Amino acid sequence: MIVNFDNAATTFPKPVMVKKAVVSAMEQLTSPGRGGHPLGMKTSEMVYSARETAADFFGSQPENVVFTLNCTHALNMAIQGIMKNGGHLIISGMEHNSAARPAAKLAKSSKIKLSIAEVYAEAEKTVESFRRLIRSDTKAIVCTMASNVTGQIMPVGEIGRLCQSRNIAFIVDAAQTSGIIDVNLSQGINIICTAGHKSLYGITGSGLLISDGKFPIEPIMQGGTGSGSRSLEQPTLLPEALESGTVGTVGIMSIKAGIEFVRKIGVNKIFAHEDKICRRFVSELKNNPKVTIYRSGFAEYVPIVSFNIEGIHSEKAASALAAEGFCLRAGYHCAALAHSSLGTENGTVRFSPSVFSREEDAVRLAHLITSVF
Amino acid sequence: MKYIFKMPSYTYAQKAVRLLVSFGYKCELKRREGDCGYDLFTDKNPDIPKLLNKYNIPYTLQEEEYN
Repeated sequence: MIVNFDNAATTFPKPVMVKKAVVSAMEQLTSPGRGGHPLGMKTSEMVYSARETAADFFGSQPENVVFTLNCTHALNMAIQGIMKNGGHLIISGMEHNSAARPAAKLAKSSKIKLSIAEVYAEAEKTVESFRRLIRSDTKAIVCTMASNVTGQIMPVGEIGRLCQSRNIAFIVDAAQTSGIIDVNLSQGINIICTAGHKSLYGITGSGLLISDGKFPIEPIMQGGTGSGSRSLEQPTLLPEALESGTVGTVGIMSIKAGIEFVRKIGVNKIFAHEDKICRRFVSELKNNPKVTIYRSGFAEYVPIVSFNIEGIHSEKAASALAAEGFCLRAGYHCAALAHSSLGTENGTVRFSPSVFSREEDAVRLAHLITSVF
Repeated sequence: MKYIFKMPSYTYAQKAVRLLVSFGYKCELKRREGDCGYDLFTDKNPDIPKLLNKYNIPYTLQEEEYN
């Protein structure tokens, strides 16, 4: 039997209502905003309805919901679009490469100045770390809402207030938090970037950029938007300004159904279920002297547990667990900065449950780790 | 006489439709002839553009005979 504990990468399995939405979209929908015929108009209306669902969930307006390919796509659009004319950018030392690489590339080409804020287990120290780096030309701060490696929750509300007081654009990577904890523009966030295929339970190839409209995002891509086609100029209004080419109708409908699924159960209930599984997993392993768990008593975590087994490379450990049917991610989790901060030169093994995970499977995995290693 | 609101995108067109319907106005959304885009057809009621303005919905207004 296969047990997926790699839900931080992509949730699996998917809810029945998401599967039904995907099939229905494939059977009934085509391209939105492109034609006046019944198929096109129906598709346009359904995609707009998905914008309404996402806007309501993240505290935005439907026109400020941009559908993307994934969270990386959204972060690239936000970072490159906001920093297009240069300036100073601050990112946290826990960023995924989806934020760190576009930032580093802009800095390498001398288009921007980049600073990296150190992250601490204590929220106040992390906020202070950002505060110290702010300069008169700081244009944006990018911060993950929770580390994809350790699950540590970042003090987004406090950083948001800091940004608001200095008129700095605050871009948040909510890939590991959407559907797990409350994510809302009212938290002082200007732009939320997130994935559809993780804890929003949509399909792969789906993501979101949610803006409050305060900071204009220069498009990194131009093309057909289904509007003003006689002009060679890209439209300036969201969402079309950032949605060149036909959007992923099927993925969009999966996000809509996924958000409805999350809402039906409740974000707090989902968190409580997954957190309980993580705590049990940690509790089963904490007395094992060979296991190092990357959690601190001073920090709060989303349901992710990163660990290592003494003397065993993380990839080798995950491979041995996979042979017994447990799917866990090992290595660097596309987050070079986070591993530098943690000092985990061989990466970590990451355990991440979903709403469908069972506590007994986590216990079975913990026992297996103890017996095999 | 009717109003024709030339909407800058389907998204704003649909936002306008939802808003007007919620306020009890009749409207019809059609694909624009001659250019890609969508037009919103309503009765000639001056309260309608005021309502769209209040909700920051962009449009270009035309007054035309429409049968």
